[in-house]
This record gives sequence, C-alpha cells and structure tokens, in this order.
Amino acid sequence: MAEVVAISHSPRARAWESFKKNKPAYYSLWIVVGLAVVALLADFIAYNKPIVASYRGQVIFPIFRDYGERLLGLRLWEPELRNMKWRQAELDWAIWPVVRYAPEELDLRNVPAVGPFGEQVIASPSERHYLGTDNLGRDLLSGLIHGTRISLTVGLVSVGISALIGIFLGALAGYFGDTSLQVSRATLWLGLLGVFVGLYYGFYIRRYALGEALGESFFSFLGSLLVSFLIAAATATVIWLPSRLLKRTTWGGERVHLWVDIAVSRVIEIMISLPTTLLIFTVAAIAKPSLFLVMAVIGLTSWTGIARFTRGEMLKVRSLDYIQAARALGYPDWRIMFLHALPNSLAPVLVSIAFGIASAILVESGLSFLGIGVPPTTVTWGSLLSAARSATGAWWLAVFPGMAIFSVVTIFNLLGEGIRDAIDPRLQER
Amino acid sequence: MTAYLLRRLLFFIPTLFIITLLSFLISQSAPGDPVEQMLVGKVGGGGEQMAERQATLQAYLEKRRELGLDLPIFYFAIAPLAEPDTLHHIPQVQVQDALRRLVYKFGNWDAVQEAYHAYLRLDSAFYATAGDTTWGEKRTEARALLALLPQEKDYEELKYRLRQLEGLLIPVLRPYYSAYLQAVDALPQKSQTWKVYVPTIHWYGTHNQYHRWLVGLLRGDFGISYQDKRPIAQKLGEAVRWSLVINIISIVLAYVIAIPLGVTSAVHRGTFRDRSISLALFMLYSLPSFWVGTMSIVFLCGGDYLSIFPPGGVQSTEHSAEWPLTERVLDWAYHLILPVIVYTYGSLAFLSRQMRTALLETLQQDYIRTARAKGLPHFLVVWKHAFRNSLIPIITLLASVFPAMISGSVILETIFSIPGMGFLSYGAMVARDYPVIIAVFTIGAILTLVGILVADILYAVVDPRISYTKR
Repeated sequence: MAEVVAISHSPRARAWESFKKNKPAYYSLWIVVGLAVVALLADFIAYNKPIVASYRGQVIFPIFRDYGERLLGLRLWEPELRNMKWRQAELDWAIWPVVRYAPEELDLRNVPAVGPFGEQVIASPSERHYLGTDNLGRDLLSGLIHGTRISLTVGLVSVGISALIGIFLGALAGYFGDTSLQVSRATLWLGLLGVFVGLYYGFYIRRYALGEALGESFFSFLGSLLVSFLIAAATATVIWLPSRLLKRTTWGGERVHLWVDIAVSRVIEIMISLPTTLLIFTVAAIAKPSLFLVMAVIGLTSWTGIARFTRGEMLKVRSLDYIQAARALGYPDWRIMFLHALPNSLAPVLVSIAFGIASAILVESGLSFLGIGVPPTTVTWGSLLSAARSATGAWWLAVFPGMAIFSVVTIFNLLGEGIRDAIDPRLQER
Repeated sequence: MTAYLLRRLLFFIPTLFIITLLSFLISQSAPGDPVEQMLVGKVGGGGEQMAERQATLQAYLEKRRELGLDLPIFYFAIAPLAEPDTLHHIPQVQVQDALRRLVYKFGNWDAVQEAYHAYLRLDSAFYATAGDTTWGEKRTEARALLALLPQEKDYEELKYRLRQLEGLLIPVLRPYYSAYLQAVDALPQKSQTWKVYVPTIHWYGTHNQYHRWLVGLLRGDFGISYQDKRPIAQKLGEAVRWSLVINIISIVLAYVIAIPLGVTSAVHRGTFRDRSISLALFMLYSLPSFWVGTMSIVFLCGGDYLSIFPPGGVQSTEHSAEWPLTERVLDWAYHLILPVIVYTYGSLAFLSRQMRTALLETLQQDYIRTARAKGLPHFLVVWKHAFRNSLIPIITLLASVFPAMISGSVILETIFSIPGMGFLSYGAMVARDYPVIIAVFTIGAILTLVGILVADILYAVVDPRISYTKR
C-alpha cells in the first residue's frame, strides 16, 4: 500500500514538519504547555484551603473566594471564616488540592527543614510534605509549583519587553537602512524637539506621580504610564504640527536622510559591551525589591540579539519582489514594513525568544538565589535553592529546586535549537 | 588594520563614557543619604542639647563638603521654573526630596521655603526647651514626630502628622507651631502650578558631582566604603586578584578542553561519539552553575555527606606567608579545584558547541574538498586546513565568555566564599554599601570592554582576509 505523503511547499509548513521530526524539541513544546497549565492552576494544585468544602452545612469555594478578594477587591469572607485554619477545621466534606500547603505558609511543626522521607509532624497522611520543608517550615513542593508561575512569568514578560524593543528597532534598521528614510528638515528638527518636550511633560515632571503609582500596584502603574504616554504624544504632535507649514520654505523643505541603521547598530554595539547581568544585579540591589522591576530590567537589557536577527532578516526580505510590488502599489512604508515584511522575518526571532526565556529564568533564579531584587517573602525556585546553603544536610532543598530550574532552562534551550534547526535551510539537506 | 584598531579604540571612549553615566545614574538613585552613612557611629546624632545638635549639623555639612555632595549633580540641569537651583544646599537628601515634591505639587518655592523656615524656627524653639519640666513623657514622642515632618513626601500625610503634633506640645511652643501650621495650610492657596510647566536650563560647568566622580575614577579613586570607611580602590585591589586568577585559569582551561572536543565531535559527525559528546555538552550548557555549586558544597564539602573538598575559601585557616611556596600553591590549588570546575564547565560546553559548528561549516568548503581530492591525509586536512579557519569565530567568543564570567563571579564567589570582586559586591549588596556596588559595576564594565577590545584585536591578527578599512 502506497503511503500518502502530503508534500507541502510553504516554508512555514516545511519548518513545522521538520520541527515535529525533532522529538526532543517537539516534546519540549508540550512540556512548556504543561508547565503553563501548572502555572495557571497552581492554586488548585497546592494551597492551604480546599477547592470545595462543606462547612456546617454550607458549601464554600474558598479558593475562588480568595480570588474574588485578591483580584476583584470584593469582600467575600465572613469574619469568622476569614482566618480559619482549614486543615484543622471540621469539614463535612472537602475536595482539597493535591498539596495542602500555600507556598509562603510557615508550618512551625516541621522546622527546621524536614526531609521527604523524614519524620514529619502531621495530622494525617494527606497533609504530608511530599518533598519536605525548608528551614522556615515552608512546603517545598508547594513552593516549586507556585515558583513555576513566577519563573514562566519572568521569562515571558521580560522576553516580551525585549522582543517589542528588538523587533521594532531591528525592523526599522533593516527595512530603511541608511538611505531609504527621508524626511524634510523641518519635520526632523521639530520632531526631535517635540520628542524632548513630550518627554519633559509626559515623564520628567510626572516622575513622582509615576513612582507612587509603581509603589501602589502594577495596574495603577500601567494606567499612569499610559497617561504619561498620551501627554507626551499630544505634546510632541502639537510641536510637530508647524512643520507642515515650514516644509514649504527652502530651509525646511530640504530632504535629509535618517541614518536609522547606523544609529541602531551603534546602540546595539554599546549595549553588547555592557555587562548586562552585572547591570541587572546592580540595579536590583539598589532599587526597592520588586519582581516587575526585575522583569523590566532583564527585558530592557537583552533585546540586542532579537534586534540583530530581525535586522538581518529584514535586509533579506526588503529586496524581495513582493515588497517591490507593494511599493509599486503605493502602500505607505509603515504598512509594508509591519504587515508585509515583518511577518516573514520573524521566524529566526523565535529562536532568540526561546533562548531568551531560558536565560531570563536563569538570571531571575540567580537573583533570588542571592536574595536581591525579589521581595524576601516571594517564594521562587532560586530562593528555595538558596535555603540549601543555610540548612546543612537538607539534600532535598539542593536537589529539587535546582532540578526545576535546570529542566525548564533545558526545555527552552531544546525548543530554541529545534526551531533553529527547523528553519535553517542549510541544515535541511541531511 | 591600524586604522581599524584606531577606530575601535575611538569607539571605546564613548562607550566608556556611557558606562560611567549609567553607573552614576544608578548611584544617584540609591536610597538614603550618603553623608549620614559616612557619619554613622562617628557623631552622636539626635542629641538633646542645642550645642550637640549644632555640632552634628556642623559635622554633617563638613562631611558633605568633603564628599562634594553640596555641588550640583551634573553639568547642567533641566528643571521646572518652580524648582530653585539652590535646593541641593539644604542638608539631608530626604528633606531635599520632600521639599522638591512639594514644589512640584504647588509650584511656589517661596511658599514652600516659608513653611520650611517656620519648621526650622519651631525645631530650634523645641530644642531650647530641653530643660522644661512641664514636658512629661510626651517630649520623646514629639521629638520623633518633629524629626519626621520635613521628610514627609505626601502633603496630606504631612498635614495629618502636623495635627498629631499639636496635642503633644507645651504652650511655649504654640506660636511657633501655629506659624508652621499656617504656612503649610496656606500652600494650596498660594499654588502657582503653571511654574511647573515652564522648563528652564541651568548650566553649572565642571563644578559638579559627576565631574568630580569621573575625575576621581580616572585617578583610580572610587570613593569610600560605607561599611568599614576604607577606600574602595584598596578593597577592590585586594579582591580583583582572586577574580582574575580564577577567571583566567577557567578561560584557558575551557579553551584547551573545548577545542579538541569540538574538533572530535565535528570530524566524527553523526557517529555515536559525536552524539554522546553533543548530548553531554548540551546538558552541561543548560546546568545552572549556581545549582552545581550549591550541590557540590552540600554533598562534597563537609556538611553531612562527603567531605572531599574544603567548604569554601581560598586557603586554609592556618595558611601563612611563611610556608614554602610549593605548599602554599598546593593549598590554594586544593581550595580552587572545585570552584574552577564549576566556573569552567559552562563556557567549556558553549565553546565546544561553537567549535563543532564552526568546523562543520569549514569542512563543507570547496578548498577542503580540493585538499581531500589531492590526496592529503585526513589529519592534515582537518588540523592544517580546516582547523585554523574555524578557530576565528571561537576567538571572538572571548568577548562574550569573559563578561559572562565576571557577572557569574557574583554568585559563584558567594557560594564558594572566594574573597574576589563578586563576593565583595554581594557583601555590599546585603549591607547596602552602594559605593562598592557601583564601583564593582564600573570595574566589571571596563573589564568587559577591555575583553571585547582584546577579542577584536585577536580577530584582526588571526584573520588576514578581512579588510577593516571599509565596513
């Protein structure tokens, strides 16, 4: 019987086929999906309250109530239930998470550092600390499960930031080069002036307001940041407007080239010569501990790889026929760049993103291993690993958190290699 | 090539400038008042007596002048019209900050200044009543509150605290208090918010903190450590030796092992040997070095398990300069084996993988096929023709391996308690000794720059094909 082989000619489909053949990378992708599920559902896997419980004839969903209070700001708990110790409570029935401890909860009966096979002071076998506790009595497995959330968030957010910056700058540099972007002199100077004045009104004089918002919460910071951006954009636009008139004069109307490529390449060169990890450590050590700050600093310092890849691809793509065709049709540059050229230049960026996530997770766990940058109460893989240094003989604290960091880093590295091999046409001959 | 190197050196200068700017910017954002940090334990701050307080203030101002912190921060400043350019004359950074926030809120420096002066009058009147017996127990409470008032950043909070103070004061102080209260309450009416929206530029010339710091830096003066009040340059000088020794040993080792490994792997491409080497290297590459370090400390260095290696440090406690040299070197070696292994394996794995890729690429070139076709032995083809050309990318990697090691030192030196730069930096981070953190960052950045420069020069020397005149 002849085997039916679907022959696909689209490079994307070919890359996907080749990626699927690379078993380690393909399985890594599924493990990443699994980890994302663990991160999302961490509270239903490990928490010190049941998912559903019947207490004195009343059916309660404690985890959801906590969500409502934390995320929506509602008041859902009756005062007598708010601080109830659910593990000790006499419940009619309950469905518990697998691990019955919250990550930052201190179990003072099992201090310091009780091992997974050691003798644990527990009320029932289901309350066992499956992987033991650290020297403060925090459940290791619960910490690992919730740490997944932190590690993945750090990886995604920081690489998200660096991808935004890197793709934008790389696309600009690659698409326009040093000669294609021309503006009138009036637009150039008024635009520059507008940017500076916009920064002054949007950010400089609002810096205290922004700082306070950052201290309050992530969302109020985002809102405040948005206001700043709007003010800056509005100011810049107002200042730029007269250039439409000035363009008609001889001085203002002269076309000037913007050296986009040179400018971006210089910035990249400077960024590369900075010791980014040391910079991140320094900033994290000096600023107030905050996970968001750690992510922002990692993101702001690690975009160079992505920018270089995007630039290189854009250089190739911009000379292709279909881009010329789009130009001939009179589409504006921005549209061609972002809608037509960029989507075809993004494949190599995926490689950078995968490796970037691995290294961001590594940097964050290094930081929390040292106890800088991340708030001391936040339980992360790095902070759990560092507990092994103070609790002598606690092998479980040295082995499991490190194993978690190692596996996630390996998985993202495998993923990166898989994507690289899949899209690199030179390797496809074998 | 000379032109290229010159260009490279020229590029070195602006990058260095940007690094110093960045360091300075970070150091400026460090919380707390450096002058107070320097005076900790030297002057009995917050004394009860007028004379004592005068002495404290005097010492503060003197120290500040000595450190140059009464100077403007940079060559120029862009500030709203409302902000006076004399704000940095006010003692205490926290007070400056609080006053600046008030100015940003109300735009009227004269009114803010009036309130501040009213506060100063209340403050000195308060200390003049030290011997007054009508105080009772409230005095301590009032004093604490009074000291916090000028540092209060939020206007509403300031008003609230001010109301709290009222009940604590004795009648003699009432007039001063109500004057202060009035001045604070009057701020919203006197507000001139428009002044915040008018930018002005002040030019200060070279008489500023950054310039002073930069000139000191060029002379090798990094300031004074908060912790032990020693010059940082001296501390760094002692520490940098160990960091350099370990890093250089590790880099040399990594190259010496990585190159043959990579070559073997590439030459036997696809065989079992290649696959196992590749797998092992991949695992090593993904192994976080701080995990390996922690594991080896827990399992191999004393503790509850094996004790094959010493538990950190660079020499045994009884180590002394009188020992014969061989014995000293052996002692050091015994202590450094484990750290060096942990330092090395990561870059080793990275370099071998790169070597393999580079050689594979070279082996596909036409001239290699020619060499094989003319019957050269395999050994010669690989080592004489292919190897040399695939070495070039490996050499340039020095530029990325070296900085990675410097940053890695912070964690690894901490794990193994090696008294190098990273350990120094970690100690400073824990103790909030900001000048040391900044100094280590600056030195690390400069070392990184030098590493990149060296790699570039090597690149130019090794590869004669590339013309550097045009780019």
